[in-house]
Amino acid sequence: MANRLEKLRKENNVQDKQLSKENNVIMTDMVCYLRSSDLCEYDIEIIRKELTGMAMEAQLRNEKFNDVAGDDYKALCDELMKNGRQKTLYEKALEILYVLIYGIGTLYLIEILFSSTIINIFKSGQFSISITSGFLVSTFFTVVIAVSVYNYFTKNSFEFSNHNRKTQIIFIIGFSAAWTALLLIKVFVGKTVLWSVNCLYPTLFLAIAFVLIKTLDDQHVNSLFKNK
Amino acid sequence: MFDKSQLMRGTLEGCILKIISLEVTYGYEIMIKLTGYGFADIREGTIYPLLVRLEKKDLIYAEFRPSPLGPSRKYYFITKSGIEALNSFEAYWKSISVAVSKILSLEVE
Repeated sequence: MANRLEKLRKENNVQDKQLSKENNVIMTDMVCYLRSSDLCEYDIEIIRKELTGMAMEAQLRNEKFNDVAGDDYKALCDELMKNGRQKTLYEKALEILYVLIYGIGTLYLIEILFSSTIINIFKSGQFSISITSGFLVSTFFTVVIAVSVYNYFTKNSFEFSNHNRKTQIIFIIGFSAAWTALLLIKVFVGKTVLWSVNCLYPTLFLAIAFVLIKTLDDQHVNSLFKNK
Repeated sequence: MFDKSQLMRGTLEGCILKIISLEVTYGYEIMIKLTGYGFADIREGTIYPLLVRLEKKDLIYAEFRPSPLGPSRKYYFITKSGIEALNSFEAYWKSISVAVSKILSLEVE
């Protein structure tokens, strides 16, 4: 089933390209910042469509975007966050599950490809993979770091765009420290084999879980479009 | 100095409902009308969050229609509950504006 939200997102991406460079930067900051909020994805894309429309009409009238939107874009986004529809519990649960399954699935495939598992599969037809404590701990921390980086980046999109030194330094130090800690965990903690399993079973489980969540998400999103 | 934002929010919501009740319209046109009636310093960015709020409260609904200028525009329509909200805003505004005018016309004895 085609997800109409993805279609709308693609349409918005096409429209963004028609914006001037200056307006495109502003729109990117605003959309990034809106993504840090609890606004539902559907509303964010609708807001994006409307803001892009405002910016394009302003361009055609030879006006600047701040002539129509005001000078404080962050305040405008805050107002929209306050007044827009918030994610429901069901939408939040789907989002968290999607991130978890996608993150764990990607890291699991990397583990297969960059360990002896892939060699064993091709050399001796052995599909066994050893799940180590290091893999579990590093997978957990990688997902946590990725989500934290995403949240920090979106919440501070305006500061990053304005080259705010403090925000950039906090980001670089935090990012480097997190990845160093992760590497150390992987190297020093991770040798204990917890259990061995046929690598196809977790792959199958993750693939089914991914398809299930994607289908539920598509159904939900499409129902939002129908109700509008 | 007096913080006008709280007063403006409620007042503007009522005025936007009135404008939409008269004819189906879109954000920029509403802004032009408000400015024309004397609301200074109103921009599309000021009224857009209010339109989102009114839509969330089901007082208005919207649909995208093609625009001669660039991408499709969102046109707003008033709902039945929007008309009820507008009627109660009008009644309340009449009573409160009389009271406020009386108080503001008082002079120090």
